[in-house]
Amino acid sequence: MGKEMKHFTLRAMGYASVSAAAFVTALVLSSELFLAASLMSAALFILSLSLYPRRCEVTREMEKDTVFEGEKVRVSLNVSDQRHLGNLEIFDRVSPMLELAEGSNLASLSPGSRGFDYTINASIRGYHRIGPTFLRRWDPLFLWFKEEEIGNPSQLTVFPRISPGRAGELILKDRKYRPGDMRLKRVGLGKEFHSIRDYTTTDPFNTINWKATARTRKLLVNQFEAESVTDVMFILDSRLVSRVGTIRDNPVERCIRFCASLSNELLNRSNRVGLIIYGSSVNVMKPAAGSGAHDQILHMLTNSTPAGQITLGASITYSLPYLPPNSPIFILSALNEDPTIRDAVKQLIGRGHKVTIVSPSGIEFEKGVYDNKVIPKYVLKRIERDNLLLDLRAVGARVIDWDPSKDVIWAMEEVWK
Amino acid sequence: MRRIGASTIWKWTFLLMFLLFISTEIYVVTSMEDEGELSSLENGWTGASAFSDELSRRGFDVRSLLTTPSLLHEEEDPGNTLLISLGPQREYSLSELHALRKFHSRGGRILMADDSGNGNGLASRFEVNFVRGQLYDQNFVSSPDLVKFDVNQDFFDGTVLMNRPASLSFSSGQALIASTTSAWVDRNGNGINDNISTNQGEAPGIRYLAVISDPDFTEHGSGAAVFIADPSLFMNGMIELEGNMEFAVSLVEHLLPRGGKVIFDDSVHRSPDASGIVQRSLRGLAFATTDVNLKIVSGAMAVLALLSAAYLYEPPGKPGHDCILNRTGVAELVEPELLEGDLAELRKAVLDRIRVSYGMSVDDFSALSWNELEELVGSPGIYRFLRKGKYRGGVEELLLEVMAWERK
Repeated sequence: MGKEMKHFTLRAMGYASVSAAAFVTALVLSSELFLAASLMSAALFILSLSLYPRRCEVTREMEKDTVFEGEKVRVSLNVSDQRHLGNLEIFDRVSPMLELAEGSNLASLSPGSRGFDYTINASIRGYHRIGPTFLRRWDPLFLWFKEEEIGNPSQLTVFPRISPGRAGELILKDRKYRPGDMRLKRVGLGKEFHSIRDYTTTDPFNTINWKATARTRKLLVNQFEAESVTDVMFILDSRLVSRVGTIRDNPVERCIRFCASLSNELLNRSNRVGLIIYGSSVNVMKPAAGSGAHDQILHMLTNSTPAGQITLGASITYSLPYLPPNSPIFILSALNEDPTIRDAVKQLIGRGHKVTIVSPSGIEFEKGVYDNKVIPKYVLKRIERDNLLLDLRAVGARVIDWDPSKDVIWAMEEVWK
Repeated sequence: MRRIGASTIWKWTFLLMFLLFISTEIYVVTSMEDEGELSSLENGWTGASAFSDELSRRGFDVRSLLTTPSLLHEEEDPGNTLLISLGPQREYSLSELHALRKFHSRGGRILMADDSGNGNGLASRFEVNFVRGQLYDQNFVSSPDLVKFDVNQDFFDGTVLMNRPASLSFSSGQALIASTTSAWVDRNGNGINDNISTNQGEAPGIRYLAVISDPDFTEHGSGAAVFIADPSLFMNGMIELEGNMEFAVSLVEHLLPRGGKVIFDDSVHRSPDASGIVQRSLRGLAFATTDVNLKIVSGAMAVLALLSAAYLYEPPGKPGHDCILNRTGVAELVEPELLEGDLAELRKAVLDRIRVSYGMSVDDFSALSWNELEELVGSPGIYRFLRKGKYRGGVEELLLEVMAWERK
């Protein structure tokens, strides 16, 4: 229960003043009329205060406490004292990172009301706080009120939106063969039998299932399960300078959504995925597989806050021990305000990593702030960015220049190409 | 600047009003001495209860005013009302004098007896003055302090006995009681008739002991004020001597020929019994509600408090949801225009573009001569900018040329 604040309103002051002034006038003029007016004002004042609502509890119910970006959550607030005669003004504090989709988180409850509902639109990932509830209790005539903060805040976890990947297999260059590979329940180049299908002219003869062919009198071949062979590392730029544009849509959020979507695809194919996030610090998650890794990645991405100015070079130097040899690496960054990018990518490629850089263009987001006008500084920065991308391609990295007008699915398609 | 809360203003206003009330009380209560002397409620030797009782017995409606003569504003029938003020122990306030004058102008009758000078505030408004100093005359009884005076008026013909009387001077009205020609006033209070030569008022002569301001008030139907230079005439211990009682009653009957209401102004005395407590407790309130000055002060304070409250009052804020998702931020395009320092950056960017376009390393590119660079660039305008840092036209034209540049 928070600290309680008591206040009179101007209306209350008016009533009191009228009452006092009428009383003084009654004394001066010996007027019963003024005395009656004074007493009536005072009586009204006292009567209204006597019907002041008691302290009450407000409970919050959320439809769900974990959602993905873009989903809606219904929130219900219930008042314990349902027979109150005064007025209740309830404001459920909602994180400024959340949007109200339907209804309002502010309500004035007339006498006898039980509560109200509103719907939140979870537009952006994060651990968002809802509450505590701000309660203002009024007497029936709105003369006097008390304010207090009640109830405990609730947490709404919003994971980054996961876009569906393209059907099929993501062919990664460096497949890692080793004992104990995981079998995938789909067709691939493994050794375990999966199913039988019709022969095609490109099928090798040693895959023909002769028994089935004899039985059915047409050529049939065996299919085998695919096997997981790859560790994939994501390096995510979460510096403050990468959050340009709007809070809702900026390079950091794009990179996070891309990372969530692609890592989901990779984990679904039983690859192992690791994640490095750099900004104010360097957070490393070693490559892991399965749903546990998926949850861990989602939580890391959800908890990420754009801050700090650690460079890519420094974060790679720090996390080199965690990078599996020759593993493919996805660098997700706007590539702005960082002079170490070129050398850091060179270093990774030199160590045998296949580097894919997915780069939402920061200056394009910034141009949006200027209503997409082409300004001189933009041209200069654009030249510098083009030079950098050419340079990175020249050293052997695959660079995807992500225009803000394209969505995450487009970026994933580019990766699949 | 930090704003003062409305509640603070109210607290201070009420505190000030309370202090004002208390100070008024203290002033009123402490400004009086000689408890109960000449009060109509006092039964002792110095009281005036005998006179009051006699008037009641004669059929007058006798009242006692405990709070303030300002209440005379509310007197509904002043033409049949007499205010008697005997030996006031304090001076009247301006608002009280205003009320008394107003009472008189509405036809009210006033009888004031004083020997201390406290009544001069009222008397001067009728061009009468109480002269300080005891009057001595040849017709005294057993002591020069007790002086007898003959009264020859229509309403009374006889003698009255006064104890250490003062005297009156007047420039308007008519004398009711006068001394003999040998009377003198002891102005310096030494009990000796001296300073005659210096003419300081102690010279023998006729002195006046009672004056009426409007002798023809019955014909005109106007108000009247009678001033008597000795209040002790009405004391319980003196009223029964000589013709004092008859004179006093006759005077009242003369002032109120049709009978009516007689109000003893006991607000100028400290009441001795339980009524005194009531008097003291009510006087501040009565002052606050009847005194013109206090009314102005109280009203002004109330208006000030209301205005302050209205000015300082901040309505309860309407809480609202503040969504920040559309807030924007920039990093590289904080300054949209190219500044002088940006030209060096542009030059480096152009060189980089050329180098990368030709797939050269930094070392190889650095080893190029100016002629070789000119050949690679192809554009004279860009080359001039790279070599000399100069360009024709505006910087926008240069940027367009750089954007359009391609490897030969």
